[in-house]
Amino acid sequence: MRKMSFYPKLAVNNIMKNRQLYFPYLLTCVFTVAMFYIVLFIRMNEGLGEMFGGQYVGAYMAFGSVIIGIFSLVILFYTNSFLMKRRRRELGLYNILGMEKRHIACVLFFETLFTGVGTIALGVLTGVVLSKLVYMLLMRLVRFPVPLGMSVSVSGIFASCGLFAVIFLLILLYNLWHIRLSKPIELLRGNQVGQKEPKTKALLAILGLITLAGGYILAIMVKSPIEAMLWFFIAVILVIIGTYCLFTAGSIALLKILRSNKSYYYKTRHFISVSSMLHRMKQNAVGLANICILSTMVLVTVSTTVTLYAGMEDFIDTMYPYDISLNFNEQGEAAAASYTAYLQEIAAEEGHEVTSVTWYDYWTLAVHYQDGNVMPPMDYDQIQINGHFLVVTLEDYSRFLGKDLALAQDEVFLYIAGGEYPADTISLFGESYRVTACPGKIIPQTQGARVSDYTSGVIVVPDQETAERFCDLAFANIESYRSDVKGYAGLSIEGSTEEKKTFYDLVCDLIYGNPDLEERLQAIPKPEGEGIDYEWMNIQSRQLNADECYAMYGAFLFLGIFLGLLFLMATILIMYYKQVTEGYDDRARFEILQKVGMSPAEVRSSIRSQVLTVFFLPLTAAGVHICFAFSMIVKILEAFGLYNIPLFLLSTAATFAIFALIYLLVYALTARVYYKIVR
Amino acid sequence: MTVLEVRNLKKVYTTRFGGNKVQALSDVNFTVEEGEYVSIMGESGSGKTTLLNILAALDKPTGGEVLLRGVDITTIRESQISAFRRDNLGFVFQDFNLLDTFSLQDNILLPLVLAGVTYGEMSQRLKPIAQRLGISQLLKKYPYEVSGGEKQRAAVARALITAPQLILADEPTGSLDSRATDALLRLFEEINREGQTILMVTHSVKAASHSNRVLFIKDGEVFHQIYRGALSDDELYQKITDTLTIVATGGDRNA
Repeated sequence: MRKMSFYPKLAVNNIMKNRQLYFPYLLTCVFTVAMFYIVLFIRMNEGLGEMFGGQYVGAYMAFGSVIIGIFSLVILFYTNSFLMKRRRRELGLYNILGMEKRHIACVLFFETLFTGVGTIALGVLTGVVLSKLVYMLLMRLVRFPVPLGMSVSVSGIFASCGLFAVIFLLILLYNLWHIRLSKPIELLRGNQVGQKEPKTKALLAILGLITLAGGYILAIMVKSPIEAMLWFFIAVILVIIGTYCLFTAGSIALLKILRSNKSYYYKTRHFISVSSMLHRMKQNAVGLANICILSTMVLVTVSTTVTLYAGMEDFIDTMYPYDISLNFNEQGEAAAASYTAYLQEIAAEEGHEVTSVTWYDYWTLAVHYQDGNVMPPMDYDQIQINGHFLVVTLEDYSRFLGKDLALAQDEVFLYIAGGEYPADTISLFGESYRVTACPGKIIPQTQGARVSDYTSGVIVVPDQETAERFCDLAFANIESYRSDVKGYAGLSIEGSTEEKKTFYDLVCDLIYGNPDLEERLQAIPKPEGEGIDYEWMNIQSRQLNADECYAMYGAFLFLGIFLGLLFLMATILIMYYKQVTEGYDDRARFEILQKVGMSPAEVRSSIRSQVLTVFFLPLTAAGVHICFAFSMIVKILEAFGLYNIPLFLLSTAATFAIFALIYLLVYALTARVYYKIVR
Repeated sequence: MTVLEVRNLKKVYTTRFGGNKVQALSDVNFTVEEGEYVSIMGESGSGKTTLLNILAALDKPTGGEVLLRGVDITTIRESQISAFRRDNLGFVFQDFNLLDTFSLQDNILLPLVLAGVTYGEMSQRLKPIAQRLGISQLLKKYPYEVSGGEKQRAAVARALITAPQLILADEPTGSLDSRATDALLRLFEEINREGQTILMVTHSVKAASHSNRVLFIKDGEVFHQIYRGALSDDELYQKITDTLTIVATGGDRNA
C-alpha cells in the first residue's frame, strides 16, 4: 500500500517544489487547451452555417484550429525540454540515491499524468466559460446577431482532450527516451558542462547577410500585387533564414570583431559586456531568433487584419455607393434611364422614399499603358494589355456626383487606382489631353481587387463622341476583343438595413420574373423595348455585400487577434524561461565579479544593460523586418482592394506600440524573477 | 612597517528570524608586517572565513577595526569599497573564481580593465607576470581548457597584476593535486621573497609550513601563534602538527 502511493506523492511534491519553473508551463497548457477548444466550439457551432457568410467564419476557424494544434505541440515541447534540462540534476540525484530508471520513469509518468489531466480539465473548463464571451466578440466583429443561451460543444471537448492527451503522451515518451539514454553522472552534472567559446561561423554569417538582404530587396522591389503574392512567401523564408543565421552566427562574428579591437575591448564598459554577450548569444541566439520571428508574425497578422477590417467601410462605400445597383449591357440609348425609372417606380409602390439615384454608361478599354501613354494593344496577351480604363462622359459623371462640371475639349478627368497621376498631360491613342484629377468620388467597379500588374483607372471625357472614338481606337488591332457599352443604375432608399434587404429581394424577384409575384409584376410593368435585356443583368445589394465582407474580414480579424495572442503567449513564455536560465547562470558570475573588485552597482548596471540588449534585440529586429515588409504588404492589401496606405501605416504603428508595451510589461515582470534569482 | 593591523575584531551573526545570535569572531587581534607571509589555521567553524571576508571588505564587522596601512577599511564608504579592494588587495580563492567567458589573459587583466588602465600598460604589466608564473603560452586559452594548477596560477597572476598591498589567499591549495600544490607553494614563497605580503587562510599543514608565521584561530579568537624563526619547513610542519593536536584536544592558551 505504501509503495502504491509513493510515486504519485513524489510526483506531486516535485511539481510543487519546482513551481517557479512549472507554473508558466502549466499556465501555457491551460491556455492552449482553452484556445483550441474555443476555436473548435466556434467552428462546430450550428448557428454559424445558417448565417450569410458563415461559411467564411467556419473555414477560417478550421484553419485556425490546425495552426493552434500544431503550435501547441511545438510550444509545449519547447517548454518541456527546458524544464527537463533544469531538472536533470534532481533526476540524477534520484538515480544516485538508488532509484532505478524505471522508478524515475514511474515518477515522470505520474508527473505527466497529473499535469496532463489537471491542465486539460482546467483548460476545457476555461474554454467552456470563455467560449460564450469570445463567441459574442466574434459575432460582433462579423456583425451576426448574437444567439442567446449557453452551449457546450461536446465533440469539441472530446477533440481537445484527445489532441492534448496525445501531446502529453509524446512529451512523456520523449522524456523517458532521454532518461533511458543518459548516464547517472551525466544526469547529476546536468547543466554544468563547461562553457566552450562559440566558434565563428563566418560562412553562416555571410549566408545570413545575403538571405536577409535578398528578402529585404525582394520586399522593396516588388511592384505589383500579383508579384507580391508570388514572392511574399519566398521573401518570408529568406528573412527567416537570415534572421536565424544572423542571430546565431552573425552576432558572434560581430562580437568577435569587437573583441579583436583591443582599444575598444579593454574598456571598463565594453570588456564585460562584449565577452558576456558572446556567451549569452551562444546560448540564446536560437531562442531570440524565435522570439523575433514570432513577434514579426504577430505584428504582421494583427496589423493587416486590423487594416482590412478598418478599411472595409471605405471599400464598401466605393464598391457599392448605392443600396441597389444594376449592371447591364447598354444596347439602347435610354436603357439606363428606363431601368432607373423602373427602380424608382418599385420604390414608390413600396412606399420607400428614394434618397439618391444615378445612372451612367461606361466603356471598358483594354489598353497598353506606359508612362502616360495610353495605346491600343497590338495583341491580346498579358504583356500588351496592361491597363484597364473605364470611360464615362462628363454628363453622366456630373449626374453621378450631383455637381455641375465642365471640361474643355482637350481636357479629361483622370483617376489612377492606388496612386496619383504624376503629369499634367496624358496621351490617349496619340491625342494629348490636359489632365485634371477627378473632382469627387470615383464611379464604382474600378476599385476592385488589383491582382495583376494592371494600371486601372477612370477617364471622364467631354462627350460621348470622344468616348466612342476612344473605344474604336483602343480595339483597332483586335476588333474581336471589343466590349460593348455597359450601363449602371444605382438607387438608395430610406429605411433600415432589413427593409433594404427586403427591397433588394423584391427587385430581384421582379426583374428575374418570379412567377409567385404575378400580381406585383403586373402592377409595376418591367420596361420593355429595344435594347432592354434582362439576360445580362447583374443586381447587387450594398447591405448583403457588406454582410459578406464583415463575415469574411471580421473572421479574419478575429483569427488574426487570436493567433496573435497565441504567438504573444509563446513569446512571453520563451522570454520568461530565458530569464530564469540566465539568472541561474549569472548568479555565479555575479559573485566572482564582486570578489574581483566590481561594485554591486556596477555589476547590476552591466547585467541590466546586457539583459536589456538581449531582450530588446528581437523586438528591434522585428521592427526592422516590418519596415521592410511594409511596401510588400501594401501591395498585397491592394489585391484585397485596399488602397488606404495611411490607414495601414496607422494600424501597423498602433499594433507595434501596443505590442512593445506588452513586451515592456513582460520584461518588467520577468526581470523581477531574474533579479530575485541573481541576488 | 605594518601593512595590516586587526584590533578587537568582533562579528555576531543574527539568524534570519531574529532570536538566535551566533558569535563568529569574539576578539581578534594581530598585525602583519610588510613582507611577511602569514598563515591562519583553524578548524571548520572557527571563524576563518568570516575573518577573511572582513579583511577583504566583503563583510562588515560588528565591532573593532581593520587598518590597512593605517586606513580603517571598515569605515570606507560603500561606493568606494570596490575600488579600494581592487587597488589594494589581491585575491586567490580555493575554486579559482575565474570567469569562463574570459580567456586567461582577460581574466588576469580584469582588475586593470575595471581600474581603467590603458591597453598598452596592461600588456606591459602582463608580460613579466605571465612569464614569472609560466603561463605565457596559455594566455589565449579558456579556464575550462587548462588544469587546476594552471587555473590557480592564472588567479595568482590576476591577484598580482594590480601590485596590491596585500594578497589574501583562501585555501589556495584546496582544489589542487599534490604536484600543483607544491608548485603553488613554491610560487608563494618566491613572490614573498620578492617582497609581496601574503595572508593565507588554510586547512593544510603543508601549506602553512611554507609561511613565516602561523596563527591559530579557535572559537573566534587568536588562540596561538608560531614564528618560523630558524626552523626548516619540516620542523615547522612538525610544530604546527603538535599545536593543532593541542588546539583540538583543548589545551591551555599560549602553551
